[in-house]
Amino acid sequence: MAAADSCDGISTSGGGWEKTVTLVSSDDARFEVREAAASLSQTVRRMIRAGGDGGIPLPKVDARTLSTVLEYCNKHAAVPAPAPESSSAEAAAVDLEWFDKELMHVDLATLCSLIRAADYLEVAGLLDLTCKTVADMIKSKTAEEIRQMFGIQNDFTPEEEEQLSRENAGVFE
Amino acid sequence: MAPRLPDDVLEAILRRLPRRSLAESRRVCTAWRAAVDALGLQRPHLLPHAVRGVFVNFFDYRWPRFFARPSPERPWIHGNLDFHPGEFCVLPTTRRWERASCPPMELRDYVACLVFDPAISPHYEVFLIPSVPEDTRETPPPFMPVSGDLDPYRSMEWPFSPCTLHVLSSSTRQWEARSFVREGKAVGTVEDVQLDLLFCRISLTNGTYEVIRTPIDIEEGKHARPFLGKSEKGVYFATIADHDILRVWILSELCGNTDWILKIIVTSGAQPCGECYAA
Repeated sequence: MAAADSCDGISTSGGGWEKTVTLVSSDDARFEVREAAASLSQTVRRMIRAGGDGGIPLPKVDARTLSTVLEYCNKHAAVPAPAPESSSAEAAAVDLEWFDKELMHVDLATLCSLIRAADYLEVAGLLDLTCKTVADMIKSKTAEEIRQMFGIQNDFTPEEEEQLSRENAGVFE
Repeated sequence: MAPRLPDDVLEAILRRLPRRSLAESRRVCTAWRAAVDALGLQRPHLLPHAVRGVFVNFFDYRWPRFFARPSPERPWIHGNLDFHPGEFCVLPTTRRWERASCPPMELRDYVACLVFDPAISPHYEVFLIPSVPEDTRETPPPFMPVSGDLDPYRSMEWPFSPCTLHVLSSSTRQWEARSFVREGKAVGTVEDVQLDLLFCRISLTNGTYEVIRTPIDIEEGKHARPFLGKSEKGVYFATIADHDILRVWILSELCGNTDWILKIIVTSGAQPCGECYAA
């Protein structure tokens, strides 16, 4: 079954010219999204093609995380492709950059949920953005600070610690 | 508290970290260390990414001098490099000097070359490159650059194929003899070595070597100071003639043919005082 028409999750709205799909979060919240936006997720795109009943279930993403993911998709799918090097293209790029920055003003736990969601939903742009944000947070931290950040236990033996110190002595600053 | 990240997500994050931070990330826990090592970037955290100072070989000093901003945190590199004949002191990633065992006794004339790439391994090797064997005949004929007759000594292939080199490995701390077979069309002879400036490129992975002629001959090499190097574009060869004319060639290797392409000529009034290389 490959025809998109057979999928009940797809309906038409807003004058009947733009297709939407319904996504269902792990906690049963329903989101009606434009197909163009939802298709930024490769996972959703495949499910639309496969078809299904009563919306597309996303059992690994909760409503709060999904709404942020969809905020990202709506914004990025809405951007038309203007002629390159035109002033409007530049303005759109600046606007998008600003939007991305604002979207990343969340705590680490939310960021991690977003990374997992972007990974599961295969939204490449969002995965890149979120991973970059976490990398920036790690960048200037010591190993101990990173452990505290992620609640990680130090499981190195004293011998391994010594070996690591020796190896790090070789890092030129 | 943030929950644990899936391995592939952790990898995606680590890939976006600068090298200095990767070194710190390896110290977080065993899982993170494994993730950094699995990136396939091959010990990028060991690579230097800043120039800490320069070594300068002055013409009238025996050992190189190291120039850097004075700092109490840098006790390991200093100007008086404590070399001794028959021993090798190197500064791999630990920035410490090590003494190597003596090379095999039967070897007399050689140049010792350090092979060390921290991007591949923290271990290094020392290769002993033998000098051209002496003419052992009692009365060698006078050297004539253009000779009609084939002189058996001067037409002797050099380096030999297979060519046996003595190699010290820092992982085993043992000397071993390794053989390399000549590859490619160019063959070197003793006469070539006396007339042309040529070098051998040794492939450590498949046990071969290749003779490559430089764009200048030995006469020119006496006046122009030759320098052989490697950049991301490949092998390059540079000379500084008359103290202020810099020429740089790049080795073009198309379809197995090697050819030098002159890329840069710079003329300046500056006179270099010695051979500088970054540390």
